[in-house]
Amino acid sequence: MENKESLIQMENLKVAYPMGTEALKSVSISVNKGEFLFVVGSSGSGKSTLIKTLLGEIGVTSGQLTVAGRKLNKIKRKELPYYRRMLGVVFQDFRLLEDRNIFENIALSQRVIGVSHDRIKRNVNLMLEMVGLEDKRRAHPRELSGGEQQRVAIARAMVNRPAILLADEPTGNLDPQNSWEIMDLLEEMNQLGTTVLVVTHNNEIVNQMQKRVITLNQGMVTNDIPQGGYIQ
Amino acid sequence: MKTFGYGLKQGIKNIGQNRLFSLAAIGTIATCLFLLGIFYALISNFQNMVYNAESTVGITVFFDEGISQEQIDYIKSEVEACKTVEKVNYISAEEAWENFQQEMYSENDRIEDTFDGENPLKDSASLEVYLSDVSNQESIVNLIHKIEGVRKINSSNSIAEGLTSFNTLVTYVSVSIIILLLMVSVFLISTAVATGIRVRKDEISIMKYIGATDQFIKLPFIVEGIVIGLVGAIVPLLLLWVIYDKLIRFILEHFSMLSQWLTFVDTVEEFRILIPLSFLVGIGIGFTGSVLSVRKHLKEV
Ligand SMILES: Nc1ncnc2c1ncn2[C@@H]1O[C@H](COP(=O)(O)OP(=O)(O)OP(=O)(O)O)[C@@H](O)[C@H]1O
Ligand SMILES: [Mg+2]
Repeated sequence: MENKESLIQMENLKVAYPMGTEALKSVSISVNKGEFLFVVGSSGSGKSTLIKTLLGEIGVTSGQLTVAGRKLNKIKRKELPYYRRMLGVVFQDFRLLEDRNIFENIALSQRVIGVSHDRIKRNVNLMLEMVGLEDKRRAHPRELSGGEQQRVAIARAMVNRPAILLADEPTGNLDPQNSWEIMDLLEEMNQLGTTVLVVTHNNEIVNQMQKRVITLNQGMVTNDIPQGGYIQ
Repeated sequence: MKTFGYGLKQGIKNIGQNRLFSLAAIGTIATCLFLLGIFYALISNFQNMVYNAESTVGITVFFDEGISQEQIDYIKSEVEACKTVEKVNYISAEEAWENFQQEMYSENDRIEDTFDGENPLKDSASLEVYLSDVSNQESIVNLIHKIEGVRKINSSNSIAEGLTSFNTLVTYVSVSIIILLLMVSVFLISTAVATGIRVRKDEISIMKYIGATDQFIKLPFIVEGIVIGLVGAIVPLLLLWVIYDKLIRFILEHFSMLSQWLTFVDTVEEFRILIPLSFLVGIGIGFTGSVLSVRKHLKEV
């Protein structure tokens, strides 16, 4: 008996860019609620495309993509914002807003969904504490180290308590020490119940963490190991 | 409401961040509404003067010699039946003489004796005809001419018609200039908003990832447009108020001999329409410009 809930289902998923590049050819992956998985593969293998597809940024060309029971194939432009509130996303380049402080960067997530002033204060402070940046709330992004900036980005992605956290090479710009801190933070989020999908090139991390690893190659899944290391 | 507060704050921040375009847009709207105000003041005052001219000048109809009172009554009823005739007054020969004396001589210097008590204006009974619209004056005069018993018609054709045609000219010129400036304003506002969108590209794309609705993203830019429109309306209104008030006072003080002709619309009366009109146009331009721009540029982010 399967007692785990399936959260993401891809069946023969094909995704092509308008120019004609078929970035994902036929991908079938099923992710359960509460899983932590790595997606690895060489450059151009379609990892980022997978994340963009999950975000609804690129449309599905053919096949099926279902997230939390919602069919992404037919999602309307109007529904997209509400669908995205179920997801948190973190990028390699942090993408913080330079014109406002750390508190406001994290608070933006809450403002967008119309949370009240008091609750924003409470939730953001809680997140700052979780990522260990309570004393940096008034600082601006450029006053922080790369590792600290990525922690802010994770706090921003997590403050709305999304079901899924997507991370596209979150440690790509960080040194090993900071990379490990970020991975620990992602694992902590996972232990709190969030399903975490991490795209990475860092084989050391993948090997050591012993999580599920999916390998993409030219838009196809070539390996899906439930608990293991970096293959290539 | 929370969302609106955010939109308002960001919208005003937008204006601060791209001052150059915002100022250009505010300047154009202000110029536009300033001209609108001037033209409105010109037109409304000319209209006021034409109206006064109509009620003071009018048409005067004289009768054939030795006409009977019955015939006069008949002519009066015929004239009254004409379209756009507002009022007809009968001035008897006695009244005409009385008026003439009052106008020409002072009380204690009556000249009645000079004429042995005989009315020198005994054939000067007349009808004073007032029209509701002077532009019809010529056709009315032609109509009255055809009535039997009418000897002569005096009308102040040139003044009334001159004012009317000048008014029409001013209206055409001002409407075309204002439309042109309105289009420039809309263009400048959409450019200001487009620049704002470009500057805030990162923020917009982050907000989209977080799950911001289109309305939430659009709101600050529409607020930006409306605030630009509002400021663009307030500035010329303040200027015009001061100028109008001062100018009218100055003219009435220094050209008092023309006061019979220069009947100005009172400042408060004048602005009772101009204020809402300016706000409506300003906000309308701001809203239109930003909506057009947001519609066009937001998809590209
Ligand atoms: N916006 C785009 N338009 C057209 N083709 C694209 C676009 N983005 C990516 N591609 C193509 O799609 C394929 C997959 O790209 P993708 O970015 O998913 O690779 P990746 O696995 O993330 O690579 P990397 O490890 O270098 O980030 C590549 O062939 C790439 O050239
Ligand atoms: Mg990539």
